[in-house]
Formats: sequence, structure tokens, C-alpha cells
Amino acid sequence: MKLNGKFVLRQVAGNWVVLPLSDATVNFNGMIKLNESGVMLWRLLEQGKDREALADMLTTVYDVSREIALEDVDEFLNKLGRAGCIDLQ
Amino acid sequence: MKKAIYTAHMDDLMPLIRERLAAGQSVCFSPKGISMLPMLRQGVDTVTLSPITAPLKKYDLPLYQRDSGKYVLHRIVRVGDTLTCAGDNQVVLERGLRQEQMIGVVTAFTRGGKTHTVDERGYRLYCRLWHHTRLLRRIWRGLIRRTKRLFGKKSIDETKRH
Repeated sequence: MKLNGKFVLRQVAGNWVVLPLSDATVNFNGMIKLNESGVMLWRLLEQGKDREALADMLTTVYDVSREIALEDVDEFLNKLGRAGCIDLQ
Repeated sequence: MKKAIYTAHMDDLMPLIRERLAAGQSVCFSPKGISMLPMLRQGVDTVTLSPITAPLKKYDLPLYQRDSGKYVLHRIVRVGDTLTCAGDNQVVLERGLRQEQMIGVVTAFTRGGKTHTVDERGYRLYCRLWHHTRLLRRIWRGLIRRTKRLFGKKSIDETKRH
């Protein structure tokens, strides 16, 4: 499970969006936007970190239990998977 | 923790659309609103917008920015010193638009799962037919409005205002 390099994180007018890198046409339909924690999770994925490391970050930064953090990470990864950003194994 | 991912609002993405077009890329998105009915249905149909490489002509469908800042995708119905545009579902024309307000132009659209280019004969015929029947639609809408008023029903426009 890692970013497949088909998308790049960009800041636009104060918002963080995941921009698909296409040859000729950029598809804006359903383009996803990341909040502060989403950006931190994305950065960790860029560094090749795994699910456990992502949950560690959430428990460190936010006052959440490990179970909740893992649920949030799974939801995040599933959404990225459905958007085609990561190859789920 | 708040949702880490959410769907981006098109207005927020406009700077990025401008940037990609300026870089020579095309962009694909689903336009908002009902002003381009019956051609484009919100949340259903999509358009491919490309950089403007030739002078815009009548019936072209550009994305432009009004002086108020609002982004609009409407059809050119007259070309002169300035451009005049209108949505296909509108009976009022927007005059005095300048070339520099134009951001990109629709080169293809997907409707009902099928992709069409703007060069197709059927599409070009639709543009002409729909434009030339605008006056008829205006009269028809006026008639409906007056009839509803006659029977004490609020027109759709009046309902929206309240």
C-alpha cells in the first residue's frame, strides 16, 4: 500500500487538493480535498510509511484512541484507493 | 478527528482550472446549475474545456469570469466588438463581455454516458435551432407566468424570490 505517483498534492487558494497527473486532460470530477490531518497522512504516505505509522501520527497529534485512529486511517486509505491514488493490496 | 478527505467545491478549484488551461492542458468537470439545460444536466453531464487557441465564434461555449468574479459557462450568441452570451435555458442575453474574460472553451461533452465533440453535425444543429427559438421560449414562459398569475398561483421565479 503506497501512493502510485499518479497524483500530486497541491495547494490552491488555501485548499489542499489531490491533483491527477494526466497527459492531456485533468479530470476535476470528484477531485478530493484534504484537510490538515489529511495532508499529514498524505505526507507520511509519500515517505513510504505504513498504516500503523499513520495511526501513530494521529494518536500523537490528536486526542484519539488507537482503535479510532486505525479506523480513520482505514477510511482515509479506502477513499484514496477508490480515487485511484494508491494501489491497495 | 474531522474527515480527512472531502470532495472539492468547483469554485475552489477554478484557480487550478485556469492554471491547467494556461499550461495547455484540457480539463474535465461537471458544470453547476440549470442555465445550460437541456444540453448539460448538473451532476450528470460533463464538459471538456480546452485552451482558447483561435478567435471565439458564435455558438462556441466558453467558460468566462464576470467582473463580479463569478465563473460562468454560457454560449456565445453574438460576436462583435464585445461578446454576447446566454445559457441555453435562459431567455435574457448577457452583453458586453470581453475576450480577456474568456478562460477556456468546450471542445467535447459527455451526455448520457456518450461523449460528443462540438464539431458533430447534430450538436451544431442543436446550437442553431435552440438559439433561433429563444424568442419563442421567452414568449411561452411569459404566457405561463401570466396564466399562473391569473389563477393566483405564484410563478417559479416569484417562489424562488421568497
